[in-house]
Amino acid sequence: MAVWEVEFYDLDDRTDALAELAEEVTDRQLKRVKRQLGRLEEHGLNLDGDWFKKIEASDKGLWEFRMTADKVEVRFIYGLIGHRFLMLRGFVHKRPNDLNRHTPIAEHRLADWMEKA
Amino acid sequence: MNLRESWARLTEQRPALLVADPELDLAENLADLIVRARVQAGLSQTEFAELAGTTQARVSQLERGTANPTLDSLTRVLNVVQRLLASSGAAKAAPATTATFSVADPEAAEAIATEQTAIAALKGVAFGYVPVGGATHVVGTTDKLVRVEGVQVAAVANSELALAA
Repeated sequence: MAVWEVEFYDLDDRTDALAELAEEVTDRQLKRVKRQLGRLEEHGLNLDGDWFKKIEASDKGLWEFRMTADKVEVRFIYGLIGHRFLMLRGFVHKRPNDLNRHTPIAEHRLADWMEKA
Repeated sequence: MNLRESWARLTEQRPALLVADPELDLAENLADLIVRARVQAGLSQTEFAELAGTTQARVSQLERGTANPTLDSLTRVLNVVQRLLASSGAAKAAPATTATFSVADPEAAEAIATEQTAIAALKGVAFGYVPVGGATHVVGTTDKLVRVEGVQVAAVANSELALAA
């Protein structure tokens, strides 16, 4: 049994946070994203290095998982619940304020997930 | 929904995601190998970089499959990976020699790299091919002779050998 889990926030019965991100990237970029998410699932927090960055602007304990896909910077905002990475909002990082724009969405989703759990 | 389930659903909607991309797979397999070796050894990216004589930023790029390393740099990184895996016991059955093959024929080099990538998936080692100065080099870790379509290349540590018929 794997130690670490990567779970995507469900938007509805047919879509989740990964599918949402997929709409922003090419097939090739998406393949790269998937491989890097696989690394997260395999090694979890042991990945260390510059893969993770705490979101200082949030008081909900949210972090960024930082990926690169063919020169495109991709971020996934997540909350860590035990050994589960709950991936809340993925986006292509283009401008400095992108994180601030997406963090409230991730916070709202985390609250919703906690309520349902 | 977990990664496997979510990915399966995506591939139903976008079948092109299932099409093999050897260049991408090679870079990502190499990235997997480096991350695995570093994490198993309990090293930070900076510590790994020091061992490999490179920078943390370059290790970060390698781990994301986005680096475009020189042959020399890649060889140094693979040497560190080999040492780490061997010392962690993860590579008991893995090859003991790092070899750099110089192959004049790019198609033959690609064939070798493709074959070794498949072997790498089983053994936890990596192979790659990079064009350098007109010739195409295959970089990897092996203690076996490489045979591709009747062509045999002897593996000798850190040496460059011409493709022999």
